[in-house]
Amino acid sequence: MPQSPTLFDKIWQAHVIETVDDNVDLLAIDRHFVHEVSSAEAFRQLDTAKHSVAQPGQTFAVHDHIVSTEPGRDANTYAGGAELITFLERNCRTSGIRLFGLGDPRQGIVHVTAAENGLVLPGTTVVCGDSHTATLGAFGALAWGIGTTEVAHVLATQTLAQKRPKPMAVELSGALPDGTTPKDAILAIIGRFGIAAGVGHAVEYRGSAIRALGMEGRMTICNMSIEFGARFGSIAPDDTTFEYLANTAYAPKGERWDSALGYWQSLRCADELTFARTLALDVSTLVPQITWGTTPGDVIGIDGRVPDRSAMPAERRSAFDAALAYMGLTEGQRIEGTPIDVVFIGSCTNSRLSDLRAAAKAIDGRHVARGVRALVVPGSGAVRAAAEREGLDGIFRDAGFEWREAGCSMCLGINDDIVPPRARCVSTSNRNFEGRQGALARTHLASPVTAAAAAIAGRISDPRKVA
Amino acid sequence: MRPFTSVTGIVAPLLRDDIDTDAIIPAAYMRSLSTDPAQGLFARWRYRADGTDDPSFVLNEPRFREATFLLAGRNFGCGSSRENAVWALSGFGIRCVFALGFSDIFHENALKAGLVPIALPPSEHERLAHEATRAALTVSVDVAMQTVALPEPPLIRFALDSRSQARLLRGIDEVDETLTRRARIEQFRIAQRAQYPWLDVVDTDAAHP
Repeated sequence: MPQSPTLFDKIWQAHVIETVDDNVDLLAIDRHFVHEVSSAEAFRQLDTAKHSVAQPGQTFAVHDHIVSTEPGRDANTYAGGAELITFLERNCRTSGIRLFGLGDPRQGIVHVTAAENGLVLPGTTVVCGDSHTATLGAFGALAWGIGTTEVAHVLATQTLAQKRPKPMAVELSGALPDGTTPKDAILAIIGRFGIAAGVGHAVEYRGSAIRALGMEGRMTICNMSIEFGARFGSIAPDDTTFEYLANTAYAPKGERWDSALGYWQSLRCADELTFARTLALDVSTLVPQITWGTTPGDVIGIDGRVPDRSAMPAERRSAFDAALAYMGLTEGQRIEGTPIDVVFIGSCTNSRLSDLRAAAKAIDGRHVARGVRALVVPGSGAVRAAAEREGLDGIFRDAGFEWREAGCSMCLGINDDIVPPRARCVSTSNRNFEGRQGALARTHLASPVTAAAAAIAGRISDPRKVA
Repeated sequence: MRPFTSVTGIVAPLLRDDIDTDAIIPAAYMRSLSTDPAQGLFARWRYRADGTDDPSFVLNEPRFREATFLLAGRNFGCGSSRENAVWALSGFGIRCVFALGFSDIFHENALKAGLVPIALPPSEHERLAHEATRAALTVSVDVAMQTVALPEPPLIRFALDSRSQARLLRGIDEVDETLTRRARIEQFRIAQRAQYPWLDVVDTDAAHP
């Protein structure tokens, strides 16, 4: 245990209803988000057990995972796809849960729209049946992903029994150089420390590089906590957080705001805390990062080479061979210049306005390379509308990108937005597992800037050279 | 939840590290309410492009088609929180997964849905891997004793938290257990709202575009 409480300790402690076992606490849950895929079986479990939803007012639902992102879409996202869409609608109607569904301007990727609407506040506990829920920890909340049985538990009780993880610090110092983004910083962390470095831990991102980021960049960082194994990732709230929240629909107003603000300011912690583990990265010499393999830890600089087999530990070699065979790459080859087929700009990692602005700027009046399919999928209806007000949609369309409706889309390949077999995709999403974007699809994770540069060049390119 | 007391069966070795939940069940098998998750288990490895079984995949070997246990490497179940991964394993007949380690979410999902995740130290893992790859290995997992019995001694011991152990043994759902604390939960809620009145969600005009 640290000598003085961390942000994580403070929030956790404030939500303990009862300690139910060694190191297991029953926690009060302040906000619960549900989507059409992971909630379906949970509502069925509730129905079978004849439980009702305990606190529908603290629960918000969205359509995001399977919705079509085709302009002019309807619920029939694929043959039979309307089933999950209408099932969520019915469950929300029956239980009195607010739904940001198809046709609602607030519809979007759950973690994007929840943030924009001020549904996540500092000091709160937030869960969702989605592993990227830690995105919302950027607000100084404890936000974590849960499974469907846990979704049912939260629906029925508005609580969750959880084993307490150990606090871990990730310190980011320095200023991000031109051509790099928060995505590059988090990819570098995962690459350096490995995809299981955070298992059993709750991460707090700290340091000058974090303080310098806006809320959107902070969400990108927290988003990929699970990619290095951490279920929780958060950032202590500061004026950046409070200014963002002050303009949102559901943040408290008037006296309620004043009383909340006093509490939120008390969540900042001293600098000399002790964490169970501390990882550190100086971002000032960072280059744009990209993955070459089939785990998010297979990261190299854009000017780098695929590793040599001889550099791999013996027990990793068969996985290395499998990854290269799957990706259609050879050991030691330069990653730059590799021809690509698809570019996906979107997902809960990189689909916010700042991401789209950065990608649009990188396009700089040029056109997508012949033979490349390039998609921009805004994270929410609000992001889409804001981008259109700035004319970003025109920049993307003129350049040959598809300008689509909000949803998870090609990040997880559950609807018809998939990468074809053996096609190579530069994607701003968070996972490059085998088959993630479609059967045999080859994924390279990168920032929106690097993705835009790849779309223009038709090959993996260093955005610092292209620009 | 199906009770788990003592279960005996064959161990299928799938000795890879970082097996992610997209590999355990691809999203394509989560598109409908009526899809049987067991059909999607390891689909990208288990089936060839034409949909037929790939005979080189471990669970397609005749001796492992009825496997009760799976033995994997490090960091099993990383990635997506999809509980369908647990249901796919359970639906196939797997009651327990042995590994060098598990992702936090998979570990939690498994325990809460009646699949027992057993993390082994390297020496025990090596022993099991050695035996399971040599011939079809039958073991017994006893949740009450927290032991794995191989044909030859010694027993392998593992530890479950006492709540999970009790739930597994009796096959009880956690919701029922938590609802016995309903009064305490409501009391907490009232006190929390008094201290932090801003926690309540208020629908304002601004919230309705």
